[in-house]
Amino acid sequence: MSSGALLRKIIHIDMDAFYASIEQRDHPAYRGQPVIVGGAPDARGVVATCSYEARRYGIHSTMPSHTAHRLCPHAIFLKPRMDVYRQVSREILAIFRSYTDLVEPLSLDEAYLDVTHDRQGIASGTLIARAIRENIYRTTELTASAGVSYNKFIAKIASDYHKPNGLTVITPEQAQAFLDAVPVRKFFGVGKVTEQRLNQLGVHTGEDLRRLTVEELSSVFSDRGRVFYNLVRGIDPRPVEPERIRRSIGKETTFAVDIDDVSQMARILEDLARGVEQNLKHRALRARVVVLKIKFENFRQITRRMTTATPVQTAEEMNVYLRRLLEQVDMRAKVRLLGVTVQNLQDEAAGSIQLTLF
Amino acid sequence: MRIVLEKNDLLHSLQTVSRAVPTRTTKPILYGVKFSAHQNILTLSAYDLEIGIETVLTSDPSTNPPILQIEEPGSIVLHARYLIDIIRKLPHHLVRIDVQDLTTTIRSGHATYTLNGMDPREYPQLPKVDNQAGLSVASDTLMRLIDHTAFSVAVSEARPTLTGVLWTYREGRLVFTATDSHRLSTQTIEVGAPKGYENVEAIIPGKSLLELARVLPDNDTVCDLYLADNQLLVTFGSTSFYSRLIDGRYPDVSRIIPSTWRTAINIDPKSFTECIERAALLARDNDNQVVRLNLRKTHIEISSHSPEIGKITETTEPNTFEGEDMLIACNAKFLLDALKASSDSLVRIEFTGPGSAFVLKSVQDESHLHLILPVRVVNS
Repeated sequence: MSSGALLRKIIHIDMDAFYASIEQRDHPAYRGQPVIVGGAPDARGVVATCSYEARRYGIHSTMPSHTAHRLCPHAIFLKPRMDVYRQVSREILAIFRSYTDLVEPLSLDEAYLDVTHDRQGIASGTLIARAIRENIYRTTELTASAGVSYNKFIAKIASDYHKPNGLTVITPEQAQAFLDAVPVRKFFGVGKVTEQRLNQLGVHTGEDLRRLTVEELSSVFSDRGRVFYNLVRGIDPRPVEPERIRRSIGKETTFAVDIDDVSQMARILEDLARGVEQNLKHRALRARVVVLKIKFENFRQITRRMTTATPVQTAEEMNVYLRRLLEQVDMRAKVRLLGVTVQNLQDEAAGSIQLTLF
Repeated sequence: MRIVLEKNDLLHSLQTVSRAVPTRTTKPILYGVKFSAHQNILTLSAYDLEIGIETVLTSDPSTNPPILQIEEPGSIVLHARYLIDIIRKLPHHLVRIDVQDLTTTIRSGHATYTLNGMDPREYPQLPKVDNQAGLSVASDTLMRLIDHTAFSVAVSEARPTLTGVLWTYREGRLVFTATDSHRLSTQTIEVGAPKGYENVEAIIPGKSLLELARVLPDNDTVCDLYLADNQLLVTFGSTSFYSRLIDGRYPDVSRIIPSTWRTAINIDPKSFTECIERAALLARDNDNQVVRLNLRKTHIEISSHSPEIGKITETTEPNTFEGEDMLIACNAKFLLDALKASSDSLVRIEFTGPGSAFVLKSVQDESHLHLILPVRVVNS
């Protein structure tokens, strides 16, 4: 893996069970207990984060809360305290920025750092990652896991490798062996449906994936196929983008079985809109444009968009537009994918709210 | 078809019906205007399936020379936009139109155009509207109904009924109401109706009414208004205007208008408009075009700011001030639209609170009012 260009030093840092750990930090009685932060089990909510004690029962984030309750009836269910989590997130971000300006937060508890040229003159990415983890623990009493490598993709997989409270360094020499062992579902852009598709092709690990030619991958996954081809060879040129302004937020889902029932589609869109709402609220944003995405069974894809009368944030507000957009679609084929995206994002606090009559 | 007529008569009729020619459509025939010449009548019509306009030219043998000669009856559809430009530029005041199959020759002076016409049998039929029971209103009164309300309809298609103007006839009063859910405008007129014409409601697309206002004569020509079969028909002079109606339930707006107030001002709409326009210059880039009104017994302070550009403050004195001091923010465009629709020398604005609707109306004329919901300013 030699190249004329300077090898980058990328760190991916991921807080361990972030919301749940904050709750355990603030409430000593919860320590050592299965803690679930998210919707209440009797409502339609989902698990946002759960402590490692809860994960032993098979509970994971995005699982419906009532399922989690069935798996672990004595778990402690807590409503998220977003204001507290946001505050802790700001403290952590400040620690990152004391090492480099090139910080790209992915969410409240996760970020990429490019420390090729760090502020404090520490030559080794490994040492910087160690220092950051120690600094986070000193400041917040919380643990983080870090992955260090020469691109974002490998750094991210590495941070997940020894979780919680782990540090994994993948050098260019180790990269190929490391990637060969990675299960394909960990690849960026691989969801349930793509995983199934890859499994059908006999691909379960990075090594299996590397046997496919770029033509074979492109014929099945078009543009994404080329991305997979590169990723599994340790090629990921995406830069760490500090000022990354989110232009859109979206959720989509591919169905195991194609659907043609429009009222079922409406319900699925409502669920997706709830996911988008959560995301908007986490980031304190509102949106001016709602986009509906549909992929039909023949892979033909359409998008329909509408500018909103006032900036939207809740699923309920989005649904007014999604229903109208759905009505406009000519449903001649079954649908394999539905997506909801919002665009023209703006800070919810910066603006003003036009009041409404009814 | 073979006809001869005055260029200006034809141009004027074409300009009227072309309001119903779509700018974009998937059916090319709709780009056309239909000519039908029979006996001593030439009918021009256009119909984009939402709005239809038909206007009639008659040959009157008593005028000399006759303004319209129909030498051979027939019909043809010609591309409206090209035709208007062509007719406007013709060199002579008379135009001769000859149609052989679909090939149409237009002659005037020494100019000859040969155009490919379209088959009139493919042109959509205008809707049939029963014109038995209707209302009769002067054209300028109808224009006032439209001008004072239609600007408040919703632009967004999210709630289709709000893109229309609600027509209500009850007890000798015809009321037009429009709202986009952030503001509401109503105008009432008194008008007699035939027996049995009572509690009539319909939702007319705001776009249709704005087109209608453009073709209505600005005088007291009588307009007859008919509602039937999901269609509105308005006839005036030799012109008939059709519009589809909007299906659905209009929200109940009967209890929305507040009957009490905490602060009221009377103010000259012209000078107040200028103040708001100056403040709006810095508000146009923010989402709700927010201007703030700080209403005090001594004066009104109007202000607006843009974080990137800067800010403006201006004070003005209302003619009268009643009630308590209040700070309220609202969309400058809503306020300007409402002020523009108030032609009187004095308007009255009644405020109930910074979080509730305020009412703008004429001091002398109770027949129209505008309701505006404020903007809640989140930060600072």
